[in-house]
Amino acid sequence: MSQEDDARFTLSIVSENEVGALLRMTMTLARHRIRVESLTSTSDESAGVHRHIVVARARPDRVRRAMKQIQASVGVLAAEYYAEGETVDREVALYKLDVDRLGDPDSFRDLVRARRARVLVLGETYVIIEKTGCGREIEELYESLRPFGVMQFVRSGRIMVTKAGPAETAGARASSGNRANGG
Amino acid sequence: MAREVDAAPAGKPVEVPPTRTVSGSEAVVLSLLQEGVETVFGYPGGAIMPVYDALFEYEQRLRHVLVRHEQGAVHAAEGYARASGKTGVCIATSGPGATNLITGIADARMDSTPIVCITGQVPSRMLGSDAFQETDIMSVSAPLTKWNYQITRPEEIPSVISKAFYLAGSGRPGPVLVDITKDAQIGTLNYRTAEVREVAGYRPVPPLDAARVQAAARLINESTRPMVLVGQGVLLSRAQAELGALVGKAGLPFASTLLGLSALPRRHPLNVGMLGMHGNYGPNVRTNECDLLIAVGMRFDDRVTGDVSQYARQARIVHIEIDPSEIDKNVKTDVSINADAREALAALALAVEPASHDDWLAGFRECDRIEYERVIAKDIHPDSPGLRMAEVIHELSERSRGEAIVVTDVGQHQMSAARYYRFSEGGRIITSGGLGTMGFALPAALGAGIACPGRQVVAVIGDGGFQMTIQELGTILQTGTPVKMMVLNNEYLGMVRQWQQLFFSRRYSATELANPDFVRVAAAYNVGGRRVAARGELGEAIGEMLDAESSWLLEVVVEREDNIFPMIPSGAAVSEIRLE
Repeated sequence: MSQEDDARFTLSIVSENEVGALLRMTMTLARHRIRVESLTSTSDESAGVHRHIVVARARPDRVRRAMKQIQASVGVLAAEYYAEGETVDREVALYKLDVDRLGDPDSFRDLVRARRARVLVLGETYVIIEKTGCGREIEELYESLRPFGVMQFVRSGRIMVTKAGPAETAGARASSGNRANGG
Repeated sequence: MAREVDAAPAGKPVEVPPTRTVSGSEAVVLSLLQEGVETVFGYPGGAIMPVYDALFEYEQRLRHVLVRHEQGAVHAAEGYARASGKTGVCIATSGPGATNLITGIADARMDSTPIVCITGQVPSRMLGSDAFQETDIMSVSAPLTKWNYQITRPEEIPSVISKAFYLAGSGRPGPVLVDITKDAQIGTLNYRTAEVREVAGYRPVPPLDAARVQAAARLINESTRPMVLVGQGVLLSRAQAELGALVGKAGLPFASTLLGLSALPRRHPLNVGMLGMHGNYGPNVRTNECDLLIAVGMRFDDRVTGDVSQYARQARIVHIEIDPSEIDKNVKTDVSINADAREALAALALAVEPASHDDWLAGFRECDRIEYERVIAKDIHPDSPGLRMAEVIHELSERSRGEAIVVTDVGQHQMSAARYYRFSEGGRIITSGGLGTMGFALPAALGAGIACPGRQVVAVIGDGGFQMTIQELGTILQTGTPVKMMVLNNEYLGMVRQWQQLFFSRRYSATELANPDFVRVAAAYNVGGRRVAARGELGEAIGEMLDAESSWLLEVVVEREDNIFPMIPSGAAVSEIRLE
């Protein structure tokens, strides 16, 4: 199976807030040759836990195995995974542009507004645009801004909530699939 | 995390006042005593010296076995754990001491062996500074341990060590590493015993799902060609009696993995032998003929399944397994029971209907006949002038009545021991299965001998593996542990040579060994011994070894180019097993 056969998944893992928890999780993903596209790790101090959201590309069987091992790890409280389309997700991106290359201010402002982005900082030599959206929207805005000379572009990892209950997700389907030898 | 208690629970071997001020290192020792530890295996060094200083005070209550290399400590702890059912403990210093434990930790992880490894670490203020003998053992050991933790404050010690023992020994057992910085060892704490028996998110024994038991029972009742696969999980959950009840009631032939071999006696009327690459002909071939596989406490390792895409495709599969991540990992199941094997087997034994499968069983016996004629008879009654490994093990099995604790190393002798030692009640195999760690046997046998004084412990070792941890003869000398060592010497790394013969056109690359005089080496360590090469002397020499009251080394010179058959070639289906 080639890399083209890899699918994109969103992994959601809740672990104890302990030194090394992130290391164990990412080591397991690496062992199964799962490529991490983004990782959002946040501490929920009130609950005393860490929440990790990983966007990953890999063969589905590798994701299934890795997630079962992560779920079985000491210190992991929950581990679910979702196929594309099963979640409502958002990322934040910042685009830094050269003011001198923006051209007509009105048309630039219209472009930003049409993409549902906003001007975060307007400096003497640069402007910073902020965009919240799904990954596709972030990338589309980047393509639109490229002609203006993007000096810096950074984007956050993904945060997400599920559309359906866990029983209806890719993870649930994988663990109750029909008999077929894996390997 | 910790539920602290004011006094030691009833039945514990040490009474500790509710609170008193002690050093971190003394707290380590008190915590080990609190867990019922009697023996630890270790090797001192700079970053663990405070703990060793505390051990000095407690040497009457906590025995420390000084090994000759930290790898010896961890394998000895494994052997101790496997023989006793208790959690083994080893101690090492930071840096090289800690990294020398890694092979054994990986071994324990693969074979589900409960051990707690305690390592010293540089002072917390120096972490990350590349201090002398500093290694990031937490990161190094993270993928190999069931859990690891670095203690930087003395007050963490009681609860973390308690948690370490709870995690190592519960559910699917495994290795836990506790790294303790030197300042945490030197600092003081107000010591209170801790008993951690609950960890967030950790469910060691899932509740038994009665509906799944009924579903499995239905499959068993409907089956005409059933077969049970017995893994080490049966031994770990002490489910031998429940397994015997199930197979006896439902008339189920059963075969064992390498680690499950001694779960039920070899002579049991439904025992059809060993699975896997060098297992018996019948259970391998019939895996692809049965209509139902009931796998208990095993993980469908590739040495058992061969080409998994051709594995038991015609059969329905029931998998009883305590680790949920093993279910559907390699082989998809029809009914999975994620539970403790003992509990599941007891319920299943009640739920199945009495049955027998005489015709199906007779087919196994026909396979046995074929294997005997084409392999076994030649192995144990050879016409070659030189001794063969199989006849040596056969003789050992006969003379020890299958009752010994047999500790093997890895290679041809291991497979011979697994195939030809006929375990009876009380007999036990301790071997490195998953990781295949050469050098395992000698220190593991030492650990088993210390765990089970009075038992006959025989280490069966090849000449290659023996030299990987040969320095532990020094530990045998110092402790006086009566370990019987049987070195099968073919002056080759035999299994690699066999593969080179069969699959690499006899190009024997780096497999021939020039060996020392093993008997003289043993003598230098005050271990008696004998070298035997003649068939006529073999039985008497084995008897002499078994009768020896102290350690003994028997070097048996065997055929140089002996091969282990049957054999499933790598990547082939189990049904493609070769008899020659």
